[in-house]
Amino acid sequence: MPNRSHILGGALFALVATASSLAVAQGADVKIAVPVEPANIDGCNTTVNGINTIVKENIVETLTVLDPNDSKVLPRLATKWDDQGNGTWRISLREGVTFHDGKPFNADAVVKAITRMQSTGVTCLDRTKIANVKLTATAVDEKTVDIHADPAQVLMPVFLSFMGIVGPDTSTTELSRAPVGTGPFQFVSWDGDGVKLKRNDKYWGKKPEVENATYVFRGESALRAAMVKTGEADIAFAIAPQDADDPKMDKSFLNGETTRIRLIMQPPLDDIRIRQALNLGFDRQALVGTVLSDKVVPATQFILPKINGYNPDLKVWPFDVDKAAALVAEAKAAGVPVDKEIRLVGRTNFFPNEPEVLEAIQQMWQAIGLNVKVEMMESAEWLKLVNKPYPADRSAMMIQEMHDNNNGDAAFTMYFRYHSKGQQSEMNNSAVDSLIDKAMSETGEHRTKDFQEANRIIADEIIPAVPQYHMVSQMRVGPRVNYEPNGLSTVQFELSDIALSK
Amino acid sequence: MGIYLSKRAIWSGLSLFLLVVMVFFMARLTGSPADLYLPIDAPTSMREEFSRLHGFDQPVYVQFFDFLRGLVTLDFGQSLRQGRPALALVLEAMPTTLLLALWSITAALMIAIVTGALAAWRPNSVFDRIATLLSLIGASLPNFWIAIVGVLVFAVGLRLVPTSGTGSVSQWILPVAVLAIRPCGLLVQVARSSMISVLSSAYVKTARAKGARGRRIIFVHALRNAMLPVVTVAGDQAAGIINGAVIVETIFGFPGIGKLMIDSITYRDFAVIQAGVMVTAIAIFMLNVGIDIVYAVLDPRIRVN
Repeated sequence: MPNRSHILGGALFALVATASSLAVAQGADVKIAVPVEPANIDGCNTTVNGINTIVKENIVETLTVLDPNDSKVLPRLATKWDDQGNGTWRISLREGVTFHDGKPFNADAVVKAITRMQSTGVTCLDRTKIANVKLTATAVDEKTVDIHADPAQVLMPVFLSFMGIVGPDTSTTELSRAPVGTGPFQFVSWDGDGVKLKRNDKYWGKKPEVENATYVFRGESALRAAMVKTGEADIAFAIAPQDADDPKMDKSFLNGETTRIRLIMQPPLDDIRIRQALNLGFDRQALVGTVLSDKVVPATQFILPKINGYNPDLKVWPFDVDKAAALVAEAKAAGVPVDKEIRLVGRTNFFPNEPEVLEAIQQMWQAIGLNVKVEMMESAEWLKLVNKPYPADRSAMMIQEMHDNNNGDAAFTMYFRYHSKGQQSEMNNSAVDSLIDKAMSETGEHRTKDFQEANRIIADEIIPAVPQYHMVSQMRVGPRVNYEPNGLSTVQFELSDIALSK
Repeated sequence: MGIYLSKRAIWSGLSLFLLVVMVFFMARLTGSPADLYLPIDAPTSMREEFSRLHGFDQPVYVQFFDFLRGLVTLDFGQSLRQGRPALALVLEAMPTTLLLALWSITAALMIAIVTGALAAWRPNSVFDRIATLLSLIGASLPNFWIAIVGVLVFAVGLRLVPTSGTGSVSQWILPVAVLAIRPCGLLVQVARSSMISVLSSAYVKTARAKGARGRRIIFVHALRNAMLPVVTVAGDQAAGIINGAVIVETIFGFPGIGKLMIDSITYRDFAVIQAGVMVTAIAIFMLNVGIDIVYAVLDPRIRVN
């Protein structure tokens, strides 16, 4: 006869085993583990990381979308767009689309959504992508809208990919935590168990295989990876390199982020020999496959090859420690204070293993005769250093930066970082300024060439930074589903692209 | 009892007020929410507009008086991130943390009292040495490490429990165990030394002389008197659990006050930080009063006043 402790132990085990098996995702339902719980999932925040992976093109659709491979603009809720001149674009809207609440998708709804996005009564962060541009939308007829941009914008078709069309009844004073859109999935609930979506069976496009999706928020990479391993989740975002230990499940992909170390032009960094030495003395290959993923790609500029304006002729700096040391010695002989301490400032939680990366680079630069000290900062403190107006007492400093341009065009990088009026620019070069200004108003080949030339001058003649890597993200995909991440997966994760394993 | 409670409430209220004032000013020293909330490429005009919309463009003393005015009616303001009343968010999250703390400290106490008492019965025996070693290890290990190793061993390796979440009873096992291990380690040591001291007292010797058996001496005669230091330390540890559930809640995805506070601190959601500090402090005050009352129950020589 079994004793009391055996019975108790058996009961406890049965309870745990049953509950444990219930946690596993089943049928056409998928569970996605993401690192951060967003503040809202409003359709006017489709460019914000963490919000976009839930809402963009799943719940709320934009007028256009970008092709993840070549950044070409593709139709979504807009089927056609024509430049009418004077900054006005005529947009033809898709027929047969309704919002999840049954309201019709028409020109009035688009006007309302664009007006709301521009309103100062609600902090729509997509507005940052069209900062300093006033958009006025006017309904021409039921399925046609004119959007006027002041000043005129040649990139309007790209801008349309930032415009999430939310339901006409969406609040104009508060950001939404229960968005209504036209997408293939509709919002169900958001509570302690995560955000739940269900398939919109009246969707105008192809019916997704997934019926229900739940996003859960887990801050720890190891835990997200474990959830997929045990079958509790089907897809996990942002798996750190050390946790991506299962080649069958872990998928690496270029995520649009590029890293660099910005150089503050104070002595000794104001001497170009020192800036060259920093680039020559950094063994980029040494960190690939060690502290960083083996899929990261050493960078020559701050944008990816698929972005219009990328200069393919620029070469990655070679690692030449002797030449770097010679340049430092030459600068020292010329009176440059090379012994002065240079702060190498990182930002906490920027990317996995950032402190290790900075410490390795510090050692490389110490070896060529520079006095470098690593300093990690919390986001708020770091932001004070990188945004204008800069602190008046800045000394020699190098700042770790990471930038994503998933928008198809160098304009979203160049002005901000390299124009003398750019909010995070360290430069004041009239040739670069005029090339950027010219390119911003051009289209086609001229635009590409001018951005490329600006990038050449920056990389070869000015050297305001040490380019590092085009970064990768790792996603863990479980055996129940098939999903191939692409260059936009971290900003536009379409549940419709998930196929269920047979 | 009434006088005692009133006195405690007045002193605690004063401390609470000073604490909230300190948090108000210190939080504002750490940077502008506009910088963290808005994307890095947001123009200055948008940052200014954001600050204006949320009142951060006002001088700090004006913000402080607005805060005090709201405090009188328990209005801590709106959460910057979620656009909902800060107090409501905190009160929604609090029960999860309290439940987590309650289960953890209960588990820790039960294990610690039994283990400590048995270890004290024969000091330096094999059981005592093993219990001491394990309790020291438990008290020394950091929570985040135990949590991750716990997930890898019990969820991924043995598949006994789920990795995280809050939906079922089994999902509470790992977080409760992780939170309980540290206080349990400490309480075993306290219970053991307290019991050793009580077991050498005259009335226990008398009980032995009368022929009382070991288990009866420990659990009937000695345990109650040995409990006072255990309760003191357990109270302190329980307060620590309420504060220290941050790591466990963040790792296991528990929607408690620890996770809420971490998210709020990261984004400088001042209203929620202030409401969170206030509610947590009140919970700890009530816990301390509760411990004082338990003292009196355990030892009639102690009067709460």
